[in-house]
Amino acid sequence: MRVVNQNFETITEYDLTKGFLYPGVIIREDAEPIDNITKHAWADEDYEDVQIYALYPVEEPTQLDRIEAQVAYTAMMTDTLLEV
Amino acid sequence: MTDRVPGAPGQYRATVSSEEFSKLQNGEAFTITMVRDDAPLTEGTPYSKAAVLPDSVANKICPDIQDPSPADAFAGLLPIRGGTMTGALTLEKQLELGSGGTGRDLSTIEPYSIIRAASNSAYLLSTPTANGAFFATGDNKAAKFATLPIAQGGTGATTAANAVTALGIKDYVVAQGTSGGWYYQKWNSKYVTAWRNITTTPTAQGTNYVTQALPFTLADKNYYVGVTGVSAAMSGFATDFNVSNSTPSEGRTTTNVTINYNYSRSSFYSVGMTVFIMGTLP
Repeated sequence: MRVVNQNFETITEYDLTKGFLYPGVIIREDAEPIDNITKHAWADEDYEDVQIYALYPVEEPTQLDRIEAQVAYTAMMTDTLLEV
Repeated sequence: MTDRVPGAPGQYRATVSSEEFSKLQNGEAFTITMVRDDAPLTEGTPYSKAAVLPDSVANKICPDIQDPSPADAFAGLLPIRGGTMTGALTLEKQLELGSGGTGRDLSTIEPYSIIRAASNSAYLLSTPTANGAFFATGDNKAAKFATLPIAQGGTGATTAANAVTALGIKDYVVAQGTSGGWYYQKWNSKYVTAWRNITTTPTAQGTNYVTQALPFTLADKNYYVGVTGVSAAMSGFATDFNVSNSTPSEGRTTTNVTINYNYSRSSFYSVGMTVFIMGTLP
């Protein structure tokens, strides 16, 4: 089964430690376009099962994370960092 | 006419005056009067203009000929045998269907009646040059061929699009069918609806994803998506599987919808869900 990125572009290399695969159904690139005259929707054979590769989401740091980082940075610069 | 029946066929009576007789005796030309004297048994009809071709008849047969002769009259009757008729023909009795008539006494037909051939009620005895349906409005006017109004059971239009407008139809389905598991309807207003079942197998505890191509491209990604978990091949799926966090706006494009769902079990069973979309076409 073809593996694609989230833009549905074929990829051959992907890192499963940084991302994951999930199932998807997309439209083949060579599918005959819909003309709304004789073809009103994609034909059954226009659909293709694929595996979609997505990176794990990177969480945005919270305000508390930023304060902790600021404290740690200040402690390091003032040589007052406590050993934990 | 009646034939004359003579009692003495070929008999004539000659009369000569004494003066003419003297001429005869002198060898001169003379005059005698001869009268038919055949003692008829039946007098018969005189062979006269009144009996053969009176003016009243001749002028009807030959209305364009001055002082028509019997020969003109016979020539005027020739079209009845298949020639070209000029002028109106008056019949004293209705022409039967087999001869191309109606077989009806039209003088008894009520005004505005539809005259039909008795042998085949599917046809009117008419060859109209106007387009449309033959109808009457009951307003004491002649029936006519025209676009059949709504009041007479028609649409008041000659095209499907105009008929829809005339009938006051606000919207209607222009296409519907199936597409790769979708059931869809496309409306004339460009609204679309589509629904389908999706069966997939989660690969992780927590949030899982599944992407599904839409049956057609939508105008924008701000379409409505409804997802309901309908089944799971495990017990207690109501708490272990749910799609309450599905359909984030970032999971949509104009061509695909990505659904995320929560799955809490450590072993992975297939799950089913029903997806419904409502949007507009470009």
